[in-house]
Amino acid sequence: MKLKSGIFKHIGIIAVVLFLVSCKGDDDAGGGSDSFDRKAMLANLADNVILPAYDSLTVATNQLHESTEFLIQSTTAENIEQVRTVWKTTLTQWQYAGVYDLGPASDNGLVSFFNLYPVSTIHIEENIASGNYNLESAANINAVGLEAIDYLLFGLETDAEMLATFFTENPDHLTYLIDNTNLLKTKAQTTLSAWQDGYATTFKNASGTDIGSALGQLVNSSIQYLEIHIRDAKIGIPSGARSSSGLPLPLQVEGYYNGSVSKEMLIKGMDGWKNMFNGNSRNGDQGTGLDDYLKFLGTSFDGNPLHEEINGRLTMAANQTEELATDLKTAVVNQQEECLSIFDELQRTIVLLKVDMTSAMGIQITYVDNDGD
Amino acid sequence: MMAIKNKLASISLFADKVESTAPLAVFRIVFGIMMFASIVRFWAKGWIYDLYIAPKYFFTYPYFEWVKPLGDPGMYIIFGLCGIFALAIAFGFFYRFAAAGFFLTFTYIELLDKTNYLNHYYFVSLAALLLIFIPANRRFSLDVRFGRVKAASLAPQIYRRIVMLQLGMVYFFAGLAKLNSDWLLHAQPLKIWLKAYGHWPVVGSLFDSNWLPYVFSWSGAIYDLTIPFFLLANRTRPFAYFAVIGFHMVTAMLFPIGMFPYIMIGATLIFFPPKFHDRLLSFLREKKSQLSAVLKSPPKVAYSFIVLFVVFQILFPFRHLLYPGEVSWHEQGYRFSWRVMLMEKAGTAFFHVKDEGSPRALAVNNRLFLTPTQEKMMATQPDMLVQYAHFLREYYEKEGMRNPEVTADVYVTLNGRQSKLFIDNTVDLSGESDTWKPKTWVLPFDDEISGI
Repeated sequence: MKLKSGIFKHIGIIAVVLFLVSCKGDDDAGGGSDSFDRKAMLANLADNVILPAYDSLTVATNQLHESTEFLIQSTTAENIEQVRTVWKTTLTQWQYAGVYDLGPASDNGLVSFFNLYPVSTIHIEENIASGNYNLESAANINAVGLEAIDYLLFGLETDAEMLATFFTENPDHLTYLIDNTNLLKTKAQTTLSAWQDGYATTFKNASGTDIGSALGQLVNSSIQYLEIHIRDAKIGIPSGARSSSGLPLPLQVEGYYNGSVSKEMLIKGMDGWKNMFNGNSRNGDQGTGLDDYLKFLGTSFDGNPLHEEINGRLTMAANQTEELATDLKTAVVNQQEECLSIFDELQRTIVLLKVDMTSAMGIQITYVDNDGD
Repeated sequence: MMAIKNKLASISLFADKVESTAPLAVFRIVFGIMMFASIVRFWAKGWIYDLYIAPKYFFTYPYFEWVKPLGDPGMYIIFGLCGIFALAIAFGFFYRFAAAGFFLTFTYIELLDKTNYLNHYYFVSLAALLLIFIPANRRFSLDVRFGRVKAASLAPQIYRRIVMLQLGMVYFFAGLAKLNSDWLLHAQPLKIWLKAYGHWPVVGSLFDSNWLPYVFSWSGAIYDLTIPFFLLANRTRPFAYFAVIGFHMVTAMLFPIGMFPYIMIGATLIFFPPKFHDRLLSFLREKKSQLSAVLKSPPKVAYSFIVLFVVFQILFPFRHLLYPGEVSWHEQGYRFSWRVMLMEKAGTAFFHVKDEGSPRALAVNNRLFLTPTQEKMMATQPDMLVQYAHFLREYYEKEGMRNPEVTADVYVTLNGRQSKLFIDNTVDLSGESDTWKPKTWVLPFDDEISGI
């Protein structure tokens, strides 16, 4: 009895000491030397990866808006080509900014305004015909953004000269185009400003691993983005992986009316995702990212470091995409098996991310905060 | 037969001893307030909608497939009633009816979806069931005030003892389940979970250390196994209760376990002797004027039920021993067994549905049918995988598929081990069913966790 109550007292003391010690926690002291500095990782991600991505997106959307407004003064084939080029630049920048669907981006519904596809051309034409539309309303989700612009720039007329004539004769279509570029410009600017005016600080300081922490949100939202907006939207759905018939659905590719960007955007999308994972900036500077955190935790898979395994799979998927003979619009029909194997490669990557990585980091995969036991 | 009779006789003899009714009244008040607070918290967090209205599909329990959600506003009404019953328990107002109402509404909610199973909800259901039969309203209650029941100062000990036994079993079984190699020798899953606090000022480096998870694991196991006994003995009780507060506050800070720590801190007060509760009630300005009656013992037949209840409680948590393999892996016999905090388990499930005439299977988008929480919980629990497979089969049959075959690639990790294939991905899960029989299509764990 004596011995036992001795043990018991120790437990009690440990529990209480821990309780008291962990209660006081305002003064900022650096962690131990053997610990991973999550705050530094978040700072690198915010300052060198996320903010530059929003910055580039803002620059691109500004240019896109200016170039479309310029069409009012001068509707020439040359200016049309200019808009088309800037559209592609903006779509490319989006691949590096879309993955951060948290905080201001999720508050502003950035993903839904920028790049959901396929768009409904019927809905777009109805909007234009009525002239009475609110692009920010949820009902217009399939009639806005870069993919609506894709339709207006490439779906109405292929030839730039003819499109110029079309816009001159149908000024309402041009107005709809400008309203869309204006929407994207505003949304990008709002998001960038929100990050600059405080969210970056909030993000850096939420350095725990719980649901509300920066890491918890980043991991959850970026995996969700990879699943929905890269794996499914870019390759899975068009290649027929999700259809009962098993038949490819080329109409569902990204930039369908342009018809030659979907392969490149899949590769860029994965590249943008890898930048987040590795904490790398666009010019290739290697900063601290999730990969370094996994390295610190010492997590391995099949004898290799887990982060290398994840990077390896993403690189593999990018290489397989590179090898496709044509754009996805044609490839999902002519090389369906190859496209499905890219989908499978992404599935395997998602296992590593969603199961092994989150478990090693102790992050809950859930979008609802709930009790456990 | 004779022996059993003697045993029953001796139990009832022990139970015939009477003691103050104060502990029962205090337990009733504490339980009622805690439950009311839990319902308010649940509502405020929007979980009624998230968990019981938003989902399109619900993972029902075997034998309770008929338990269905009531939608909006039905679910809000049920939660509202449940909260009102909890308050009525606290105030001792139409107490027995309130206890029965609380038990039924609460248990109904818990039976709706396995996704939301928590051991502490199971405990709440059991405690509410016991309260129906415990005369906890004979003192310091509105029922007495309004003359609905006669006040009573003394009641048979059995009423307090059965609650103590129930609480003791929760701790003890939780402690037994921790006696395994992952918990004691590898300090898993705490090693993973505690790392999350490395950024805390001052104590952060402790949480990154390799030894702290061991300290927590061992002290947690010892705490669970011994605390009921230390709470029983007069000499150790004050210290033990101090440990109860310390232990549960630490867990409340470190883990997302909601109201559970506070419920346990409040509930374990019942281990204190009747005198303590008498003083507590007089501190609360109880009027003792009419306290005279002595409650009679429950009828003999009640003791048979109590014995059955306790025997069930003791045996049911061990049913996992009847299944081959590791219970944390296959989870057959995992629920309703007080196995808490034992696993960092995560998984992901890719389902495929194939028309009998089609060369290629459809890769199911789980988001169309399940909430993220449901998807996550399903991915590591074989019985839920089967339920979902049946749902998919029916759904795609209606969509026009002929004889759809449902298979799944499921990958699961347990306590830091690398993810591996969880179930046989060639088996048509829609042809399997969830029974008491071992699920042979769950692939072996390929590792060992020795212990209980």
